[in-house]
Amino acid sequence: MRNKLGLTALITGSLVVLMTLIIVRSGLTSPLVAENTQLAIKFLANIPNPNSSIFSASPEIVTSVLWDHRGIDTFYETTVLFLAIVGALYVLDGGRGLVRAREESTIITRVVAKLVAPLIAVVASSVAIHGHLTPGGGFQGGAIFVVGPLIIILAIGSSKLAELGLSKEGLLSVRSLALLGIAIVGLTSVLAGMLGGLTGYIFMNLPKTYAEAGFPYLIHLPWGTFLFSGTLMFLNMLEFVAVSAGFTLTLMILDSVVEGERK
Amino acid sequence: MTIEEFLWYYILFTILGTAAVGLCGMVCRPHMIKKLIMLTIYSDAIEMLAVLLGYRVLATQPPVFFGGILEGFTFPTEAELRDFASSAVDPIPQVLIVTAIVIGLAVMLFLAAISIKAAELFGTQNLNKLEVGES
Repeated sequence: MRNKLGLTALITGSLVVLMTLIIVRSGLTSPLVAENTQLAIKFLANIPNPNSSIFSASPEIVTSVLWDHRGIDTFYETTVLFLAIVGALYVLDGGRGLVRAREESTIITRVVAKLVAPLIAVVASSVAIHGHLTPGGGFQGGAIFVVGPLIIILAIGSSKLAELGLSKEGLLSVRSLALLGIAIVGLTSVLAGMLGGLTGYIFMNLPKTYAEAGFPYLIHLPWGTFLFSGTLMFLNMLEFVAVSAGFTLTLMILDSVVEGERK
Repeated sequence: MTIEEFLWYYILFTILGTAAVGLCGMVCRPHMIKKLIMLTIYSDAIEMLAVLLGYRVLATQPPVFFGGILEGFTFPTEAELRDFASSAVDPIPQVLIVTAIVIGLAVMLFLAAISIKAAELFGTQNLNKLEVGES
């Protein structure tokens, strides 16, 4: 056992020194290299530029690249997330459960959890809804949202979540519907192009010169002109719903198994 | 060696060393929960490395064009764009780790489910003590 630890430490230690030297010497990051890479300059200078062919109508470069320029890749990463959650549910299904000696949490913990959880939900929705304008987006908002159900489960128990109307079947269907919604938004351009005789591609955002079937990016309402950046805002909100519902579901199942409710 | 170069080597060495500790722990520790903790440390260190690779000495702002406004959006001029492209950090590593973090969370939940199942079936989470029972 001790020999194995020593050998692994030796190998990884020498790899660390080698990697440090390689990274700095090859100029991947070094104090001597001051310019961004050509790919980064292309994205940074052309995405907010209305005359460019990769214009996204969004000042947030990260969200634009995530949902516009590599939209199909992000869609498949969402399905990976879905499959991991389905796998966890499948593994946990139908056991006899573990019984944990549960201690009643103090009133301070319970009251603070009740106060903080709605605030976390509000912050998460705000991060997700204007994820195309400020740093943030659907993935980040969803990951923040999960903290709310987690502290409620730890402080009060999952019975409180059931009181709030979150059932396992409901969460699973909400999650599947959100994934379906992402697929529908991705296919809208193709369908609109087919029906109207125009050219449209999967996960296309704004109209291009060679493909006219795209989304608009401004909407004129009586009280002002609003920027919603084509598909970016819809996809962010659907992804927020998908991530938060999926993780809340898995936390509820994990908690019920550890509590031994499935006996 | 100037002070910048020294700091650069030092930060890289620290991040890679953290990743190496995580890797060592994953290989050498027999307990499943300790393996999970080490996996988290390892993946966080690698994500930190990816963010560091996008940083340049002259970069002074995040890859978001002057913050966002929902109402009355005006388009930037060419000179503003050139200035932005030379002073913002690289967005591509950030794009890559946004999804990696959430998928890492999902994978961790899946591994936690497996370790709970192992505790339920075998009564232990130590991989050296797991025995295949007669079924």
